[in-house]
Formats: sequence, C-alpha cells, structure tokens
Amino acid sequence: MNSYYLITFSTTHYAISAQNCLRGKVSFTIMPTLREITESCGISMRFQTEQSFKTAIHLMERCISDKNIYRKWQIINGVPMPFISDEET
Amino acid sequence: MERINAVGLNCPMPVIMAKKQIDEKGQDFLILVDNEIAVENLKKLASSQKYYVDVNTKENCYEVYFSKSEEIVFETEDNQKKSSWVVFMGKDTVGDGEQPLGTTLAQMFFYTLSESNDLPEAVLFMNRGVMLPTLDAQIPEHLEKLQDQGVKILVCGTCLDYYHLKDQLKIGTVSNMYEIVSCMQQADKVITL
Repeated sequence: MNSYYLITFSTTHYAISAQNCLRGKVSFTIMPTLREITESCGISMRFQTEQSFKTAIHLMERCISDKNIYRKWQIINGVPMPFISDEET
Repeated sequence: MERINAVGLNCPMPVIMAKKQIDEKGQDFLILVDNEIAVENLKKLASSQKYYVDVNTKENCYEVYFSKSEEIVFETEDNQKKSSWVVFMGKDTVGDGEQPLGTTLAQMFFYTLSESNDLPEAVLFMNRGVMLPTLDAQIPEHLEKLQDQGVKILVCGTCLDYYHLKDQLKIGTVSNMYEIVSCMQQADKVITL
C-alpha cells in the first residue's frame, strides 16, 4: 500500500539543514515533493513508520526553531493529507 | 570453426581476443581459457554482443563457444518499440554545484527512476559515481529495486579499486570499460547527469 509520512520544506536550504539534523538518528528517504503539494520546495523527507516520523519531528524541533518552515503530511494511497498530531487536536 | 587459445592469459586478454574476433570475423568461434573469471567475462561479452555462448569444462581449461544464433532474441516485441537508454553517472552528484544539493538531487533522481515505468537498460557508474552504489545512504536501495526489474547496474572496477571501495559495493556488478562502452554503443541514447 502506498502510504507513508512526509515532511516538506519552505526552502531547499531548510530541507538540506533538516537532513543534516536527522542523518544517522532516524531512517528517512529523500524524495521529490509530490506534484499535489505545491506550496513547498522540491525536496521532501519520507518516513515509512509513524514512529520514525514522530521521532524526526521531535529532533527537528530542537534543530529548527521556526515551525513554519516545514509541513507534516500523511500520504494515504498516494494522496497527501496534512498530518495533525494528537497534541494539536 | 576458428579456435583461439587464451590458456595462461589473464583478464582482460581473453576478452580482448574474443572481441577482436567478433569485430573482424563476426562468425562462430571457440576460445580456450583456464580460469573462471575469464569464462564469466566472456559470457558478459557474448551477452553484450548478442552471441549465444556455451561452455564445456575440460581438463584444467574451459572451451567457450561463441555462436551468432538468431534464436537469441534479447528484446521482446514490446521492448523493441521503445527506444533503449542508459544512464551514465561519472560523478557522485547531479550537476556541478554544491555537494549537499548535488547529493540530494542524485538521491531524488534514483528514487524517481525506481518508481518509474520507463526504465533504462543499464545504469553505469564510473569515477566518483562509484560512491553512489557503495557509500550513499539511500541510493543502493533504489538501485536494488531497479536491478530487480531487470536494469543492469554496472560499476567500474578500476574506479572501485582506486577509491578503495571494492569491499563496500552494496549493489550491482563490478564491470569494465569494454562492457560499459558496449552498453553505450547499443543504447539509443545515453543520459549523463
């Protein structure tokens, strides 16, 4: 099933900074941002499990102070949906 | 049938002799070698030149029989309609800009390629390109997916040796200049990133 989690970034430089922040700490795959997501730069980080996704967000909050520079998504059967965590609901 | 004696000769001499025979005569022939590496390299040559190959093991040597048989059809009818292409990576980045961006672009390229339906015949890695199937964190995984779908992943052995990466190859086949050039010659287009 084509379902996974995604983080997109407002700029390419933030996407590369985030890689440096997470490399070696959590498993991710760099992929092109899906065509359906238009308001982000072209680089995305893909996470196969919710656990690795949440770990990544936790780590990123330490590295990147401005939360507005990245967006969280859940991809369900190829369709991107904004991810809303339990704390945000 | 012409017989070529390559017993006692190490690679790449048997391959060079066989290639010369193919280029000059273009007919069936037999080549004698005495080591398995030569047999494997001759098989690769035969495949790349669309020759049928058969091997008879004799005392302390191998008879490798090259036959230009029309029965060997390497492409299905569907494949023949599409143009064939190969990707050449002579660097460990896409383009010549800054390394972090170039590495990210290379990762995204192979991710996208591995998800695609129109696949190249082969991906060829030379010079610093050999860093990708060895040291990169995610590209070997994409290459494995491509290889599972029949894409040849050929990695320059000389380059692996130069960068001391022979033991770190995660995916693909150690190859040589003959095979890599042959792949390029047979493809309708070669895309260099």
